[in-house]
Amino acid sequence: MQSFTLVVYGSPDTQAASTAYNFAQALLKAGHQIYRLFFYQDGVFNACSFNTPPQDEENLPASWQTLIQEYDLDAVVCVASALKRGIVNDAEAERYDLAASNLRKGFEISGLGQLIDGVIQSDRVINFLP
Amino acid sequence: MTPKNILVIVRQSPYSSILSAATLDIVLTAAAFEQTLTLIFMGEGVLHLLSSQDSKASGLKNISKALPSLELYEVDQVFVEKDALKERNLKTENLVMRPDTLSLSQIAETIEKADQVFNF
Repeated sequence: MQSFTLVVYGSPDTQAASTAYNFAQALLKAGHQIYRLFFYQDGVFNACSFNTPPQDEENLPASWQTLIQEYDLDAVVCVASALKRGIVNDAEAERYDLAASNLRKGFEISGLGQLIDGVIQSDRVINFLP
Repeated sequence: MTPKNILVIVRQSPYSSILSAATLDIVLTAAAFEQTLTLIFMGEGVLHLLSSQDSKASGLKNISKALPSLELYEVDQVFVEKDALKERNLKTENLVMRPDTLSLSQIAETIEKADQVFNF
């Protein structure tokens, strides 16, 4: 068994994001441990709760949420990337006086230090770039 | 805990994507966590080091200005691919800093020694 940190740089529309999701599922099925999922740059869109794709398309953020909650995964969204792209939790929405918050349940907002912590603590870090 | 050998490779040209800024952020954060860092500019990535960059009209950040200060953050292992400079008719005098050059086989060795590679 090995521990992994997965870093997702692509929005839910990219193959990078869906491959990361499939890889995460495969890891867990094979009995490996996911130390952290880190969503960086456009990857933060995977943590949006407002997306409503057509019914015949996969809702990847919803799939992430299910996976995160089922396995109690640590899913971190980079704060700088998130704020820039309008992904906010209740606290940030209040701080910046925004109309609503849209961070999906299961995800949390934190800093880039969590990515480096992932590098330090896990056996392997896999980057998923679009 | 012993620090990890983190290698960051920059292969894309500056201003082609937001990744350049992201790369620098990762390097600086890793340095703050006192990890051992190596930064290599390869291929189109060597253009990051070009002096006389002016990105004002594009509205994008000029990252080359921040590169010489990497030393202050104890990121002193900065290298550039020898052939990539040659192919572009560039000399280290044309760059914002004077990194040592590496051949492709030396880069391969560096990758082998790294605990973690970020390849941008």
